[in-house]
Amino acid sequence: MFKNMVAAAEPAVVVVRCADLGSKGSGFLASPSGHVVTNNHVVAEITLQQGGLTAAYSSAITVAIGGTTYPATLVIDPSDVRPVVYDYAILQVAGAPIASYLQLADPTTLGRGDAVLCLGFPLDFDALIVTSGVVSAVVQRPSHVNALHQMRTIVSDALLQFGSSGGPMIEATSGRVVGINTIRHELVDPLAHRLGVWCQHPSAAAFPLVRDLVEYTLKYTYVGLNHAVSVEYVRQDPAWPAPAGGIP
Amino acid sequence: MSVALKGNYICVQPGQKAFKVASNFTNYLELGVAGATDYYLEAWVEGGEVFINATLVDPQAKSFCRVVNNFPERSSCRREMTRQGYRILSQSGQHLLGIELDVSTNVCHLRGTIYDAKGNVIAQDDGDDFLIHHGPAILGRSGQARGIVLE
Repeated sequence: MFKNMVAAAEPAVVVVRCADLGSKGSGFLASPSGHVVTNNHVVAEITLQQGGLTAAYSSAITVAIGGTTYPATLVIDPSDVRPVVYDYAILQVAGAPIASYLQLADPTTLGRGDAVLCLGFPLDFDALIVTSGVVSAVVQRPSHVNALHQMRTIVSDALLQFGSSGGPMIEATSGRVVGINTIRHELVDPLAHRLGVWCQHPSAAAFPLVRDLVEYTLKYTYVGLNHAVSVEYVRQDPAWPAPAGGIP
Repeated sequence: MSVALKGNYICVQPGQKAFKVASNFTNYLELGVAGATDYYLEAWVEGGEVFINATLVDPQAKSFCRVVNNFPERSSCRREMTRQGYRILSQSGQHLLGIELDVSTNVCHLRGTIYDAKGNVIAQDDGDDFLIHHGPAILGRSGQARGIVLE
């Protein structure tokens, strides 16, 4: 049904890795000059010190395009808190042949019931994983980093998994990107974190069956409704190059 | 005759996101007059989102910091995020203004001390409340109408 659209988008969907943070996520090429959009939490580690949150960005970001890995640099201002609050990052890869890139849509036209596709490289897959769904709602919800701020979020039933973060949610009619996939959720994150910490604790070894069940649950299941951060925040960033043909 | 205005909900319903100012709950606070006083604070709730515009004085460094829609302008000061809000710090690290959302009550607590250029305290937090020492100030807004005006 969406075979041609996926084939057209596939060369622009990338794997983002940060060797120093030990993180892996997805992303997408968004300009002919090699700009890559992903989630902020894929390339930064947020720490809470003396009540203040600080983002430490990776200094070893790589992007795999079509199976070939290239170094990437952060082009957003690392002292700017907007990318952290709205969970986006803009990178740039140098020296990579850019055969294709995805254009950003105007997410304000998106409505409940619109068909969307989510693309990315979740878990340990090297192959592009495509899931589909409908827009369940477009809502303003608290940022999962900072509860004071609301962010426009596209809720859908398209399945996402760990590693899907940063991949594009594309509008099935136009092939343009409306959101950045993220499975992070303020309600689920603390629970997943606590369970993950427990799995590493020596006491977990005393309950191998429970530990394995928890690990399996964390790895292979997640909430049925997932969300994507609206791309409007990317378009408003000073580092956004507004590619020709895209919506400025 | 003095009038005590205490514990009221001004242009806001209980449970809605609101600022706690001088024991009252309000959707809007304006301190000073934009362009006329050397300090300024405008805090409002719109579409469930909290916004702050401000001109803040760091009396020690004798410097000013402008905040537009929650974010400091240029490098006059910096913003530090917290889990439920943020703090505005001067370049010297002086805490100028903060805001914290109590997610269980939806009350936004303003933190810090607002000074004028002479170093007079205009408003300050006392831990739970935000107290106004000098007007002019406006509490509450509904469309073009203003709520309580303090001269």
